[in-house]
Amino acid sequence: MVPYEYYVVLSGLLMVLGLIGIIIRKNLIAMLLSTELMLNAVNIAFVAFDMKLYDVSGQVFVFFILTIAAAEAAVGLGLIMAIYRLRKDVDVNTLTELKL
Amino acid sequence: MEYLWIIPFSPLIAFIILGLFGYKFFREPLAGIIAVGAVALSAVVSVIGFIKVASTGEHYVLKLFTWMPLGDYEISVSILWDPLSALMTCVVTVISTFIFLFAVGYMRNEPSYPRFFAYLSLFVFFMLMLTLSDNLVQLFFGWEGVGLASYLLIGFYHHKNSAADAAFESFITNRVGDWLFLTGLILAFVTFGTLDYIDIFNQLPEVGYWTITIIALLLFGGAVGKSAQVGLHIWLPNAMEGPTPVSALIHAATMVAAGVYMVARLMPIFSASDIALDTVLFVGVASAFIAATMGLVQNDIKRIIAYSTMSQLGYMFAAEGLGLFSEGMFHLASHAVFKALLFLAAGSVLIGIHHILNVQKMGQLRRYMPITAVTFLIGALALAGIPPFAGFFSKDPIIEGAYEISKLAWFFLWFGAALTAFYIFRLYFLAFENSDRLDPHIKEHVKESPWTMTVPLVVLAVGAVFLGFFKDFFGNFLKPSLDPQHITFLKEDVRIFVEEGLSRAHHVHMAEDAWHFMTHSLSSPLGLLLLFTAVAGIFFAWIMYQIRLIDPSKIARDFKPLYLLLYNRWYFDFVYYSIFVYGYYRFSKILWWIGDKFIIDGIVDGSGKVSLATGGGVRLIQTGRISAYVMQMAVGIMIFLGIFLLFK
Repeated sequence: MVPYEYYVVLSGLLMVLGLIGIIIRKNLIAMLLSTELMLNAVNIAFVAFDMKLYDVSGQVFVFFILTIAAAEAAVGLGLIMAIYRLRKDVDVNTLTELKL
Repeated sequence: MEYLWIIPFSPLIAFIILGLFGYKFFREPLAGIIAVGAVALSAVVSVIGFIKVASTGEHYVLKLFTWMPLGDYEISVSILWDPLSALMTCVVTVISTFIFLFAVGYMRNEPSYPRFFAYLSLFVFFMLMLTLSDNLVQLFFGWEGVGLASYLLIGFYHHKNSAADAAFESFITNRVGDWLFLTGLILAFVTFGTLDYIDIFNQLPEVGYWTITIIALLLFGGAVGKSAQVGLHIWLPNAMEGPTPVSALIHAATMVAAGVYMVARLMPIFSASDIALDTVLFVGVASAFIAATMGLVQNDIKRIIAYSTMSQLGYMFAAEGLGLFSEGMFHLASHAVFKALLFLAAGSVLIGIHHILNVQKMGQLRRYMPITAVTFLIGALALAGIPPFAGFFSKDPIIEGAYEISKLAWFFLWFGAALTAFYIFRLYFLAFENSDRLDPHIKEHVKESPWTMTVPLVVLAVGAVFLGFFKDFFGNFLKPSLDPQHITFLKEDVRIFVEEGLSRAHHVHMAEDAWHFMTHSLSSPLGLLLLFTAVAGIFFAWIMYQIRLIDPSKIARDFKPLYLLLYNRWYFDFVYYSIFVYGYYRFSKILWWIGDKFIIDGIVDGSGKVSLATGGGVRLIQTGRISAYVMQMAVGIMIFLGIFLLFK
């Protein structure tokens, strides 16, 4: 049986990958993908600790997170579509409306 | 005696009526008539009260109402009616009546006519609160009030810079004295637990010598300010910026005498300390002499009389310092009459020649204004102390008494008397006699003043001639207030205590009866010397300014340093201005630089600048790029996680 530390390490790696992806990618769709990656990293961590602690509430959490991730992907893609229609572009470097 | 409440409140009612409705309903001359009527009513009531107290010699204390409680002691507004306050009240109200009447004519065609009479009535109200008070707080209330009224009246022509400045100067100079007075008052309350005169007097023997001395000196500090004695006198000559009736009423006859009155009123306190009496004596002597020398060389008609006022107040204080309290008060009464007369005559002159103040530009006015000239001459003779005028009977006893008690004081008082005779007759000869130096344009219009102005002059002149003969009446009248053996409101041991305090005056024996005094004075060497000095002063004035045998300007050149010293008023104003006015100005400027510019502005501006700089710095990290924000967030999370892991 694989020790749970391996799963935690995997989860951490995925998390960092997702974070780096969000930071360095310019494309909104790629950033959304990176967010999904981070969510799934959390899922793996939940399951791993669940296995270690002999508890099922972690696995229940995973289902919630999957649901939220689906909803988030739908809303996120919808927003990206709206931005694309507005600007014909999904590059975050030009998307600086947050700055006054 | 309940009717006495009318005395102070009648002018107050006049003030309220004129102050509220003066401009609307009571224009000229109705405002003047109301004010004269109110003060004349006070005068009538106070004369009735005077006669009553003269016939019985009793004292009456009327508590009108409680003002405020102060611990166990209740400050009340009340009337202490004894010979001393009756005399002072009569002097104030009677002289005020004549001056008000004079002002009705003097202020003719003045746009602020109702305001003037409102202020005058207010002044009389405060002055009467001061004289009638039976406790120190009410005295202080009147004391501050007359200061206020004096400020308002000196600055009556407030559009003139010089008048506004003079008003400020008088107010601020008085404030120094009032501050000392207030300190003394508080100390007296702490010491005695009460502020009613009679209760204080009866506790005197139980209190230590130094405590009483300090209280007396502090209270006297107030008197120095109010009565313009050396040190705090600089405001009085400048106060002549006010209209002449104001100078006559406030700065000659009544308000400046408040200090003298206060010392006489608190006679037991002062007599309990020989240091306090000596201070009173020598401040008085110094003022009498210095003011007389300053009066010698002035050219402003009102200022000459103002210096003479300061000098005569010095004589009164000297008399009190010598323990001759009733002589001091008698001099106060007779001085009030003849000084009001001199000022009103000067006012009549100023109306006649259209407010030229310089005596060098007058001359031969007797020809145009005979009544004014004759009454002024009577006032001048009274001031010089020529028998049988009032000044002789009131001033000579002081100088003769000084001879018995302190030779040093006597010398300066005697010399001051010679100077007095000289400067007042210098003024008389320059203004009314001598050659004709008037501007020809003005000369065409010069005529005698109307009856409202000459009647007060004549009445006061009659007073200045005959008042002296009532010397023994006044002496006996004041005994229940000022002679320890006759004071009924003091306990037996306090009487002995006060008697001992006044022991310096015990061996002074003067004839009380006016005729005896006159014959005795005119047959003793000392009395003859005094008469001779007064006549000599007049004679020198006559030589120098009438027949011009000696040229005054040549003397001024020959004794130039002395002349400059006197002309610049012993450099008092110069020193005070350079220390207090300009020194304070510089000090404020330094404080402005350090405190305001550097510290306060530094804090205020500094906090603004810090906000701006940090804002400008932090602004740079707000790029608007999502990835940058995420990066910052990630870094932040890592930092906090790191801290958490490290210090867990």
